[in-house]
Amino acid sequence: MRIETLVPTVARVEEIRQETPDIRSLRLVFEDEDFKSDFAFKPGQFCLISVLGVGEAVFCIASPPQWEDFIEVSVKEVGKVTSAIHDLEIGAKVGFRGPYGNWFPFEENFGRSIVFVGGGIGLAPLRPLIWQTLSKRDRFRDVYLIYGARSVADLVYKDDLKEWSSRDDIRFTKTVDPGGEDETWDGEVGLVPQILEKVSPPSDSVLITCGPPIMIKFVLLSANKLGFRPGDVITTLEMKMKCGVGTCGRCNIGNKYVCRHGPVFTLEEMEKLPNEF
Amino acid sequence: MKTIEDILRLIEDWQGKGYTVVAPVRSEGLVSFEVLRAPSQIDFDHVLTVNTLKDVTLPRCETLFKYDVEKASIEPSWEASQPIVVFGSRPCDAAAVTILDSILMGEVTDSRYARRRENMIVVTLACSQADEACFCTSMGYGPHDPTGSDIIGLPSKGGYVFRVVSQKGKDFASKVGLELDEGRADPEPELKRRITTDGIKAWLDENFESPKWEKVSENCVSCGACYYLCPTCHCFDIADEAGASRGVRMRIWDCCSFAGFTKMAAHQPRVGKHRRYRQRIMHKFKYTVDNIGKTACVGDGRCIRYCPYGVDITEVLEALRE
Repeated sequence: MRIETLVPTVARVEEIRQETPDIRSLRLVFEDEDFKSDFAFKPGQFCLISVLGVGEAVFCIASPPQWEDFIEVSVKEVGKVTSAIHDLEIGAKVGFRGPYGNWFPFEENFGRSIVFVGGGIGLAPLRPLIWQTLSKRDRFRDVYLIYGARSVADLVYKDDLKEWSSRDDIRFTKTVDPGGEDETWDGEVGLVPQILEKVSPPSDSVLITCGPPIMIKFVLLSANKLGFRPGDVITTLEMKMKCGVGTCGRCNIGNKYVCRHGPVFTLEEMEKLPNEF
Repeated sequence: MKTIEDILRLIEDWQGKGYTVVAPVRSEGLVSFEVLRAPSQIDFDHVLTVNTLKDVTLPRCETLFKYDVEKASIEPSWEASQPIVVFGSRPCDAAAVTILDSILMGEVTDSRYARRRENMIVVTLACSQADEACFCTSMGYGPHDPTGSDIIGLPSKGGYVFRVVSQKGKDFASKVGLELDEGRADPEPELKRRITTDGIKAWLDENFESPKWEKVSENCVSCGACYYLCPTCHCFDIADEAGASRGVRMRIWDCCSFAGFTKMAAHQPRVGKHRRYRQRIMHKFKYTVDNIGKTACVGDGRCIRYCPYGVDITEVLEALRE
């Protein structure tokens, strides 16, 4: 891979959706026609979005590859760049670099059952893979999704959740943390790892999870308890990144650069890394 | 054998042929690699420059692109590429270039680094002296080691004998009409500082968690001097220098000693200077070995010479392994 190092292309904000009180999704369209037609990525890969004059930050690509004319990113307001992104309006221009990093296995899992486990904005990296899986649904056995957030208001992609609830080819269990439910809530109440154990999907499935670090930690423990093989448990990690290609030196966990060797790791791979996450 | 006078005439000739020459120049008591105005500026008497060839290949601060917020334009910035001869690098400087090449022109190519490297010829002057801090032989190199040089001048009876090392050096020599020398080189200088690296990698493989990390980093003040002076440290930051509507995005050297290096809005994976110091040692003596098959240390000793609190990397390595 040869890169014109670190120079973004321009993308236009075409749509903005307020997902939760502090999360917005942006639909981006590339301005450069050549870049647009050459652009290809796989679920699990990430990008860097620039607000010119403020800086650059890392986001997973939250839309599936088959939605060809645009990509989506979901942004939680936590710092300088994410606040600036929240201030953008439709028509605004941002810088885009990517796709970077590795991706979730897909064809490798044909013929198997898949269990998606997401928490909060951690559904964002799973979302493209869920849609991709549903687009080739006949290639998989059972598909499970367990998704939870702190409260009903904190659930992202409400339209997607509604569609997945109504489909009979995905076993969708939604949950909110105790106290996060409201009077209309018809899902589970409980922490995601507990609900995973309650649903108890077959342990010969592939389990793919993302969420807050503390949730990932307990999901991995639950997966272990349920008998999943460490090589079949997959997550995606986040560290501070600047370059996205493994040269700026800050996102490593042990000898692996999260931006280049990851962000997708199996539990088996993670067990070999030092505890620096 | 070429005398100093012969060498100065050669360099004048290279400059006349359009080459930019970067060489060690003494100024206010310090010798640094600088773009040479006149050959007479070259210092032949020092042991090692303060700065490294990073200043040529990976500048402290460079503009990646200019932008205009109103027009939403992004204009990549690149200086005209011109052939550069680095003259008078030491064998450790040249060896360090090969390490950065493996990292920045390996699996991923950093196009800016690569373009500078393509245009750069390394003409080393091997060492006739070593100081207290030099430990290149401990790291598998040596005062006359040709690794990374295109041409090497070996000290010989007050002058130098020049030998070609690489194809690039051969092409350059024939292009500028540089005659190579027969003749014997002086013996290599002895280094006083010597450690054995046996067992260090094995210790690091097993000891990510160890009380020794706090101990060996006790005197470190996280100033980053070792990073800035290290010929192989290459971590960088990216930042916008913004005006109201126009600005530039810069790449700037950055250092794993600084807390802000890994701090995210909601998470800091490396709390405490011992964890950051561990990253420095692990990166040089384990992670780089795992990833490219060699350590990211050439034993130039700059970090030992210039640490304001006397942190000595050879003592640290020995203390870790003990």
